[in-house]
Amino acid sequence: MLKQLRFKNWRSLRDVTIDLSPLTVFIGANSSGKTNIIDGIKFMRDVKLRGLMPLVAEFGYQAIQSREPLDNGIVEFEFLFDSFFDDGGDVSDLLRLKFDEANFPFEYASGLEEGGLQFEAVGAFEELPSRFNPEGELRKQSIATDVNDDTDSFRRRISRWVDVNDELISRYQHRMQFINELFLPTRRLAGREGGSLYLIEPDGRNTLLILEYLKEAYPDVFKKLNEDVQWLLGHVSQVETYRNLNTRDIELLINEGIQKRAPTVSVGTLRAIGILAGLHGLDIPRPRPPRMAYQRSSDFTPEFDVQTPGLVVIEEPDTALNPGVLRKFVELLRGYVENPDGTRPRQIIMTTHNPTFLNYFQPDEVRVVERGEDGYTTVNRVPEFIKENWLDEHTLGDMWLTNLFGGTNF
Amino acid sequence: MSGKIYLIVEDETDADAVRALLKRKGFSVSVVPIRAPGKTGGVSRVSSQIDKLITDTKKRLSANDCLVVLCDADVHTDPQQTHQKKIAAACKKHKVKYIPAHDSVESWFLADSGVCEWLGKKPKNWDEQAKPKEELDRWLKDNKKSRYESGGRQQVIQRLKGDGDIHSPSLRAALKHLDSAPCVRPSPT
Repeated sequence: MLKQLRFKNWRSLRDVTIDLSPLTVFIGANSSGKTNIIDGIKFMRDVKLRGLMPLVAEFGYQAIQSREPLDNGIVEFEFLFDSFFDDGGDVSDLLRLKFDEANFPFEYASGLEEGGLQFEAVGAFEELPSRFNPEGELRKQSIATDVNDDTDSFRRRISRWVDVNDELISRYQHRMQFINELFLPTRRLAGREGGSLYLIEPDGRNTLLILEYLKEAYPDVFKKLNEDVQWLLGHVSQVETYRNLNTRDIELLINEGIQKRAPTVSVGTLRAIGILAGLHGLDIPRPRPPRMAYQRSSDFTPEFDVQTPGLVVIEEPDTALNPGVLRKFVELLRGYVENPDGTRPRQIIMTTHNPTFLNYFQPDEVRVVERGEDGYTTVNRVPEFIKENWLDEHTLGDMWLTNLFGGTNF
Repeated sequence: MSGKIYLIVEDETDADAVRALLKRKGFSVSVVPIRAPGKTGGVSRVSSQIDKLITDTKKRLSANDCLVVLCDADVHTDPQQTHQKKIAAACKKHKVKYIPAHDSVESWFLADSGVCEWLGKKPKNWDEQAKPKEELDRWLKDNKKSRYESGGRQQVIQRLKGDGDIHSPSLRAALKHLDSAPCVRPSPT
């Protein structure tokens, strides 16, 4: 599980540490910084997927660095994960970026820390102080470069680093789903359109591909998805995909009642099906990334373990959903998170503006995002006095609207 | 640096009025409304929870912030002033400023020359008149084909000149309270 996020000089998050729960919901006024938190997680994921330089080139430093950055202006992301392995400690993943006058990171460093062992990953263009390398001296014995060290100790370290780093990259690349507020799956997709078969696009454009792949390759998962849709929406008796070989289109078929095909499908229904496709997409095993050449072939694992926790980030999941199904929806999400049979663990991060939706969460699952008068974001838990003094008589959503713990536009 | 006024109110619309009046008067301060929870009742909802509201709002205050309770006094509909007395006593106990609008904040709007000019009326003291909100709604309906609760309120607040204290003693007293609050500073010119 992703336990903690720390951002420094990232957009409005100039110095923010956020503890996460298995189910976390961010609330806050418009422009308070909720999306910057989500984008920060996605940025780290995309660094692992696409590489740092294309991403920085796409954003430009102005969309990355705080306007008035603290200290030396270095942008920091530090994510703390639960222990990856039975014998290990928590894993800290750190990325530091320093920009030059041409707005490009002329220095960067990334590092891992696990169980007291620190690993400096492939270094910087130039010297950059980091927590792992506080003097700013480029390590001559960088793990990735010093292959001439043949001591047992060094070999053990490098082997451990490979394991931890592989697991980390797998989690970013294969176990994170992002669903944004403009998420809207289409009902018909031209067959020539490609896309990931398990990672859902934030706008939902490849939902049909995932559904079709689930149906063909993992019918048990597709059946479970159908059961969830039926339980959540009631009016939907079956979700199907149909591939027309003449036009090469894929179509989403939704039956209502006794196998009567729905001529139209509402936005809320499409979004709910798409969100569930994202959740179930994590049940598809995916290949491990290539291992380093010096590893023994027996180290290869052909398929990634679907029991590894997966992170699903959903902005405004309640959009276009009737308030009458919100309770069921949260129960469904909670079922994945609490995961009683231990087979499909999920961590879910959400944002919402809906007090009715908030009523179905525990106060400890809520983080209140606020933008101060200085323009920078703070993130806090719901204060203890709200739990102790008010929740016996009022709901959490009602208390949000009092503004007693902030997070509103009043 | 100016602080914030945390304003305990029946609902956030009263805070909009105070925010607009302070701005027209040239004060630089952020107004943070704290709304009494619950769906029914007005001033009774505030009075039944006033101790908890004050105690817990104080936990949000920073050094330069101050706390004020603003409520419609409803003198015409609640002649016994039961709720008012309870709120006033709690404010006294917690050493918090209390600003009662004589009947409701709408009496302040009816005393404002900007609002009256827009509605073709003459400003005067409405503190002693019953149901100023209903009167304002009638003016809007007759002159602007609008209703107070559906779009009219926003238009009224936008037209405030901030001179209602000339006619309204209750607004004059309220502004005097706010003027002396440590969190309120004149806007930089």
